[in-house]
Amino acid sequence: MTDSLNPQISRRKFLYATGATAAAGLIAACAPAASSVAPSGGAPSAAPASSPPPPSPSTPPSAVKLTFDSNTGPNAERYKPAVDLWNASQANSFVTLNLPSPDDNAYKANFPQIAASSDKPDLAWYWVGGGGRHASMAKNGLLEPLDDLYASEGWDKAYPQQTLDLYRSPDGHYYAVPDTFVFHTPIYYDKALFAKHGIEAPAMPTPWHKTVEEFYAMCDKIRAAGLDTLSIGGKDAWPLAIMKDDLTQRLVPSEVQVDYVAAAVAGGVPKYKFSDPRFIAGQQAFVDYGKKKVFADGTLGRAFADAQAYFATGKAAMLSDGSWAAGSGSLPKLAPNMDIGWFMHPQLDPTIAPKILTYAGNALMVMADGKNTEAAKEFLKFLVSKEQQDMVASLGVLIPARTDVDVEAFKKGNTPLMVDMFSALNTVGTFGPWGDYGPAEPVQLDYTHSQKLLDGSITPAASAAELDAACDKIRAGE
Amino acid sequence: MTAKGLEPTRVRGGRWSPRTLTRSVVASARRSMVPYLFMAPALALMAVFVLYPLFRSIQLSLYSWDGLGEPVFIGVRNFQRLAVDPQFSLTLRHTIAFTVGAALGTVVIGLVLAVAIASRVRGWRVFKITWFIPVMVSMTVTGVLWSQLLASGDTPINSILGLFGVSDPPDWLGNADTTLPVIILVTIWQFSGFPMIIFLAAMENIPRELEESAVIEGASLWQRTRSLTIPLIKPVIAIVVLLQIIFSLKVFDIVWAMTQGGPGDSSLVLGVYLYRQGFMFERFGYASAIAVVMAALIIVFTLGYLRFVRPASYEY
Repeated sequence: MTDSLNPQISRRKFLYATGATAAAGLIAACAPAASSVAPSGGAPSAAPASSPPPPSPSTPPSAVKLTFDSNTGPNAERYKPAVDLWNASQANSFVTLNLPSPDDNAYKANFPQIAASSDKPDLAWYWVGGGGRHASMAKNGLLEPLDDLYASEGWDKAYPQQTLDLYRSPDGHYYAVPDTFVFHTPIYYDKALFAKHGIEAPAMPTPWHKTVEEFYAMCDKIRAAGLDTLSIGGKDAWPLAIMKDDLTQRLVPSEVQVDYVAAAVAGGVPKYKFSDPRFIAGQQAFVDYGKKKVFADGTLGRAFADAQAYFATGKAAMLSDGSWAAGSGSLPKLAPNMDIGWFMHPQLDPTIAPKILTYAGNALMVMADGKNTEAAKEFLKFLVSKEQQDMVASLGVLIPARTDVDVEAFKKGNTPLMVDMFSALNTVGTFGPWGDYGPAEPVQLDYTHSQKLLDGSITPAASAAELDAACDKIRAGE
Repeated sequence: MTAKGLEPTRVRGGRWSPRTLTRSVVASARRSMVPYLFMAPALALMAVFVLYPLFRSIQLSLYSWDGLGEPVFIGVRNFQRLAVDPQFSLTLRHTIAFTVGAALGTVVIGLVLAVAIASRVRGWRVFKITWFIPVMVSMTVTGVLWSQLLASGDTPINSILGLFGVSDPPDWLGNADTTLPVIILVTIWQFSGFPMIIFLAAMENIPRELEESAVIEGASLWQRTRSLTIPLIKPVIAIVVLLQIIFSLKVFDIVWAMTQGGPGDSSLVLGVYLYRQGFMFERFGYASAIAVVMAALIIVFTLGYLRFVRPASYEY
């Protein structure tokens, strides 16, 4: 082989070249991000059409650099234009939106560890609840108290009392502020498909079947038409657990339902237990749903996103999902030509009217002991300001948590389906779930039991006994 | 040690001087240091990424810790709880079933494929590449892909089964009875290419004369495989079986991607149980105890296997 084909390189030259490459790599790695959004793992990056024009991506040299973590999906769509607007209007503060995980479950599980690390963000979106994780973070001093902002910004008057009660920690402080809220579990259906097969869905002002038998009869009719019934992401378990809460509300007086939250709090003194026959009846109603083939075939093997697709492609006639599915980026995008209607789960007890389960735990929080705590609080004030909440209302993605938002802007910016469901909240009434706000163990048990109840590997009574045992241990401080 | 105490050694040329002596000692030390210097980067990496986490796991297994606050020392209580935890014993049974099924399946199918390819069946080149491609694919990707293929409804798998008259196929991943076997089958599909390649390499080392003599003697392919090939590659088979068992005992990704251990606990294996306990139930001490038990199981099994199987090598 000739030298031209096999060039020799001296050790010195090799070391120079390696050193230069390493230095270039180091410089590249340390370079500031070119964009204010740092997505990871395939997070959605496109801003909605209504977002303001993108600002200059460069960071002002003297600006405080803030990092803001959120999950992906509708929240990313909501925060990207807000961050861009902030960066365009501020000379002294520059926010980078991080989306650390493409998957909600992973974000929920991993964020507390991020918050406890030296690499924590300045502020973040997270659940107040999250299977007890928010309470753990607050208890361990990872979150900044926001009491001063609640007073100075009038937040203590801008949110419903029920939400304020939920956000006040046992130590009396507020460690988070509500940003948006969702409600569960409307049953979405394809109006054209129902009409084609002569199936009638209940509508406002009482959008539910008066008896469960009527609901079963409707499901039978759907199956007889060659369609699959109610699509739901059973593989992820939590959609099942939330639906179970919905059914329990229809059998359990509200004071009992509220009491279940106290059952799972250290030092809590609940009046009722999960082995209360009314709670077990709620579990049984869920089991009966399975036996009567209310759920689509293959429910336990279908993930949350797959369940949406199963409905959007016309394979299932109904979908059980949260209010976010009615947002412009969700079902209307998946099935643009489908005219979607909604109704609620049936009444199970003639004395208890169905209500809509609302979840107000979508929150913003500032990390404690950060370098930029005050700057982070300024950005937080901006995010939950009346103007920003009005912007959320007009985005058509999520429902703002403040009660003083511009309802007209909400109606204008949202899909008719979302507006219709939103207007039902006041008419029908709402209630809160017992799950999610509780500690990790009973909440996770409840999730797993939802699957086990459907595949028959646990009975409603055994499930209730296990929940009681877990809560007893927590109350005893074990 | 004093200079006087140093016993000068005779150096080349027969001169004795402290300088040459020092040089000699330094050179000797350098020579003996060189192997350690080469090993140092690997040892440092091992210390940081293997030994320290292992030590931390053992340490954490003795604490109760929610991952955020101060860990509380509780001695061996996590292990005592594990011993009576019915979910742990269920998980252990699932893990053993998965390990036996996946290790046996991958090795047997890998061996069959290797024999077929080595005997140059028609299309052997295509087989060789096709069966090895899944090994290179991420387990998570495989899990997601097969979840879609095995979903309920008009999926490719169910459509193919429909051609054979199966009109009502089971809900593969939503049924507690079928979930674990299905995951084992997918694992076999993905990893049987690995033993195949190793066995093929081992078969290439068998002298051709042995094979030719057997053919001249009139031995069939089955007889040659059973009496010649398998005995000669037995040491390789033993090592591949061990590796497959270790991989299977540690399984997490494919189970998480396909079922998350569900429905309920029907496909819960040790790796997933550990994750659930740590990141979902916020019991990092208990999760560490599971990790320690897993590591102990693998170490004890490996030592026992190596002691009893004694994979020897052959000289041709």
